[in-house]
Amino acid sequence: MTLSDEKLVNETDVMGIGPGSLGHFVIRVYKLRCKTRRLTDKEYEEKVAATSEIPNPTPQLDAPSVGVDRKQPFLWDAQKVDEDSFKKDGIVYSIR
Amino acid sequence: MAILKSGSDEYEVRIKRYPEKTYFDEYVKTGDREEPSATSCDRYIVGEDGVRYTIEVTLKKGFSFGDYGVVRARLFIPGHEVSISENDVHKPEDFENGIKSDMTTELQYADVTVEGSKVLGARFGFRNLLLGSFSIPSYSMYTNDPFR
Repeated sequence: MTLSDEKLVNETDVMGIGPGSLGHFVIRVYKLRCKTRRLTDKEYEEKVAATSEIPNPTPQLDAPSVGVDRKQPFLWDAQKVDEDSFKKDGIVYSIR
Repeated sequence: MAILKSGSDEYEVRIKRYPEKTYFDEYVKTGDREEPSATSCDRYIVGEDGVRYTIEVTLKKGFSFGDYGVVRARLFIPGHEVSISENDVHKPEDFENGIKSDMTTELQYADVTVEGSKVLGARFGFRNLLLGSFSIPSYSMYTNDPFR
């Protein structure tokens, strides 16, 4: 017989609920810096070659995301508003 | 509040109600305190249904930018690989021997897509995560300093 209760991964032994499983978010803080590096002639030529291999951009066939004939609806296109999800001046984002 | 230290650098994260600008009380799991040198920590707050919040990230006085130009805070939510919101603190002119006063940035908005519609600058809010009548969201904070 195995004691599966011994393996409480990501769970608490109280109430059977891991608080983090109810909803959580993560904040990460990064320290960033920029560096400039001079490429060697060989590297430079490789970069130029890689760039010239990219074909010229083909005309967009899909409707653009801005302008009159766009397909993507924006919030301000709304004709009706679901009052349950729209409170005063914001959409309340649900964390699941 | 969540505070992480890395040498003389001290980062603080707090969750603030909007528009009240009051802070959420934060809880730590008993017997689960992180080491002073930890680079991540978990805090628990009692979410309030419908309440909107912002996330305040503070670099404490004495924080050393060194040759780093920017400190960037990013917010991640489950189910999204990329951050939904980010904000920067730029190195001040007078950064030698650490910053002379606390520097703060606030994560307030995200551009999200709700059922096919783009919502630009949506605020963050808590919505009915029911446990009885309240919810316990937790949040984690990380610092990323590859040169520790």
